[in-house]
Amino acid sequence: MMGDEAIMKKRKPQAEQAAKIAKTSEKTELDARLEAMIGAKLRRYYDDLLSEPVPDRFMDLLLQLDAKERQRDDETGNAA
Amino acid sequence: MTAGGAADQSASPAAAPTREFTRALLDAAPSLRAFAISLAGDVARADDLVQETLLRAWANAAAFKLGTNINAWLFTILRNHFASQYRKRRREVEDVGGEIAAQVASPSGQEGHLAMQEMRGALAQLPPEQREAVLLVGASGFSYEEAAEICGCAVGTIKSRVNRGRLRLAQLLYGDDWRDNLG
Repeated sequence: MMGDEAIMKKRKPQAEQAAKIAKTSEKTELDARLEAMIGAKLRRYYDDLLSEPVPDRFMDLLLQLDAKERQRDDETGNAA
Repeated sequence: MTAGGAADQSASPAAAPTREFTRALLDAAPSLRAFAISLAGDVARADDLVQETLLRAWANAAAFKLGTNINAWLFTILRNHFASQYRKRRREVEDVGGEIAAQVASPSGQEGHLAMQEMRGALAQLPPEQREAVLLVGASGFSYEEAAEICGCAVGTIKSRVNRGRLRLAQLLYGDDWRDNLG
């Protein structure tokens, strides 16, 4: 049969465990709310950036490189 | 990084870039640019980063494995190029963070509204490794695993950088009582 002392010994870690879990879930909840708030703000910022027109120079550069490649294909007789 | 420098650009890659490859690069340009602007805090520098990334990708088309995520590959090239430039600049200029913050504080006009400026300013104050982690996972839509691959570090490292970055952003945007502003 277990004495009171033994029961207390057994309970104490349980209580500590429970407190630890409560603290962790509090922290996790805070993390989740932080993630939601900053996440939404970041995505809004990013969507605005993505909607900005991309400079023509990128398109021009790639089309130029691509045209050169196709020309080489024609010269060497490779099908593109 | 296996991407070549400027000298390689005229060399013909072993496997020639296909039209699909060109199309994929064109499609990726807007998201590469959004990432570059947020990373560098400066539009002119960001556009140079994107251009260099596209050139390197083109010159190294043969190194790209078909069927793998081309966006992750392109972001890796851009990220590595930025990181090497950053290290170089840090050797040259003591206070790069302050320099970027100053550029952000005095925008050259036409660069977006207040909320955008605020976020860009806050991002500029994050340590670069937290900034890239927050942007890749929180804005560009990469998984923790993909972001870890792009940055060449462990998944756990990315997770903790993202968490610390988010916390720092909340402090920068809302001050010390940021907890009161959580929804």
